[in-house]
Amino acid sequence: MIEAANLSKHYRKKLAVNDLSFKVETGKVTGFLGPNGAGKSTTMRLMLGLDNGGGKTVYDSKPLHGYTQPSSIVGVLLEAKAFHPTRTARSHLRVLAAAGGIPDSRVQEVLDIVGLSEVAKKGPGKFSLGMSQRLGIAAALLGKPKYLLLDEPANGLDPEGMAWLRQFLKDYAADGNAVFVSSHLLSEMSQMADNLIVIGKGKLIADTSVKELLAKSTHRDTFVRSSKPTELKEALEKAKLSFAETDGGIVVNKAKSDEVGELAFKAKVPLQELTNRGASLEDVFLELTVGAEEYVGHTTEGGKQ
Amino acid sequence: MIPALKAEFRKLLTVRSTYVITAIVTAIVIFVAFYLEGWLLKGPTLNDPNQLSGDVTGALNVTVFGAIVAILLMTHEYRYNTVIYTLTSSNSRNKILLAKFVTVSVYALVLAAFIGLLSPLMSYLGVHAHGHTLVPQTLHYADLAWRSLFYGWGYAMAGLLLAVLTRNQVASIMSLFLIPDLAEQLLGFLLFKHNAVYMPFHALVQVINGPSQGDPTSSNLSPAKAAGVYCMYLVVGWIVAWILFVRRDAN
Repeated sequence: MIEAANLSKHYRKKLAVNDLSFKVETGKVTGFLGPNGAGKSTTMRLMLGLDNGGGKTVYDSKPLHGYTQPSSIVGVLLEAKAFHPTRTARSHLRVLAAAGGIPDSRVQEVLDIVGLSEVAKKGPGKFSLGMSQRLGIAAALLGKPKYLLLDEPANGLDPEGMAWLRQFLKDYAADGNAVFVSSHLLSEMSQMADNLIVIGKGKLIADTSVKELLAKSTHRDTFVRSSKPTELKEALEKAKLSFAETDGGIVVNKAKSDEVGELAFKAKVPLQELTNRGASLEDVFLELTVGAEEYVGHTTEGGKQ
Repeated sequence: MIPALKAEFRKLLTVRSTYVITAIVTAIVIFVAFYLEGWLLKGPTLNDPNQLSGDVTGALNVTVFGAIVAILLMTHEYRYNTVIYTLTSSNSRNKILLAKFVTVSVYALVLAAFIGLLSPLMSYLGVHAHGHTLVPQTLHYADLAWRSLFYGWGYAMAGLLLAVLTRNQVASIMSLFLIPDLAEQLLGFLLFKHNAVYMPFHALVQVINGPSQGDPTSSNLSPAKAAGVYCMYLVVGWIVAWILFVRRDAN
């Protein structure tokens, strides 16, 4: 298990990470979410001892520098393009293998795993972002580490690559390892992660399982379609439920499908469709991080998005 | 420590710049020694018994390229962010920096030895290719060897030191050229006057050139003393650099 305790980091006057504590369990994929500038990358750097700051992180009760070969404990991907552009992909991995005390034979194995064997003799300077991510994942896997810390590994991957990564990380965790992965691709995360840690402005917002997080959300709608929409709307108004008309139906806000179904039955309104629309991870994420965004875009020059 | 060393040597030997720079050094030494100091040699210089030893000390000016290799070995880590991997692969930053120190030292010493051997050989071949003959040469092998090796190593260590301090390729290379040629010249004029020789790169040059006759501003240190002065600067600089490397954020 990875245990991060009281992590904190200041950049001059700005508090980037604020007394952050959490655990990453083995056997699970733990997603790490937060708006841009929330402190995700800084947190990962603190966990690896790359940056100086407060708090400590232990891997199976020992700090990373307490291990003789740290790369066999933690595999790291913090930046896709972290390589010399003209050093071949194979040489890049051979350098990292040497640094970690890993046999060279492992280099070909990881190249095969990520599907880069055919370009192993090329300099990665001209690799696409997706290929660079694969090389970064190969580097992280070199030491067959128990823990993987990956910062936005799905960025730039094609759909096939994403599906491969999702399954690979789930399998890797299922083998008794722990995967700690940050991503902005929330749909991807909802399919991949077992647990989620959400931060905003450097503070912990949520540390729970994906199921629990979705269940807690207030964002719960029901889509209903009827041949008598006027009667249905009257029944909804009587029941003081808010709703909105959409193409071909009505979305009833904050109501479960059984509640709407019962209402329609009592009003003798026939229904063609009745569907629960549970919260998506994106809905929950936006709900949780409201006010914790560092950077907010605008739809027009006048108003917020 | 061994994995860190192995990794540093692989870094050095798997980038094009190491080979390009070494090739440039070789080409310059061959051209200067064979053509300028050999083929074109004529008149009384053919009768100078110190001609070849002078060629060695002159050729060693190109060891500045060794310092550039040292700078690239360090600053590529920051430019391409591979320092993330370097620092997370080892359990001690001290081991990493020591590995870089040893790797650069070995490269610099091999380069200086190579130049020290290639230069007189090319000069000798140049003279004979033109049909001339040199008088028997006086070569103090041990003296020449330590001064050459120290000069090459010293320059590379300065390069590595600047790279550790600045963590920036352009800034390190600019500093490497500006400090000896501009900063020290100005300081020499303004502050030190007759004691300019106590400045680091002036001292380093004294190691290889020895005390020059009749120049009161730069001629009062023996090679051994000049090496001592230079080492003092290196030690102080490296203490600061080492502390910064261990304590600073990765990049």
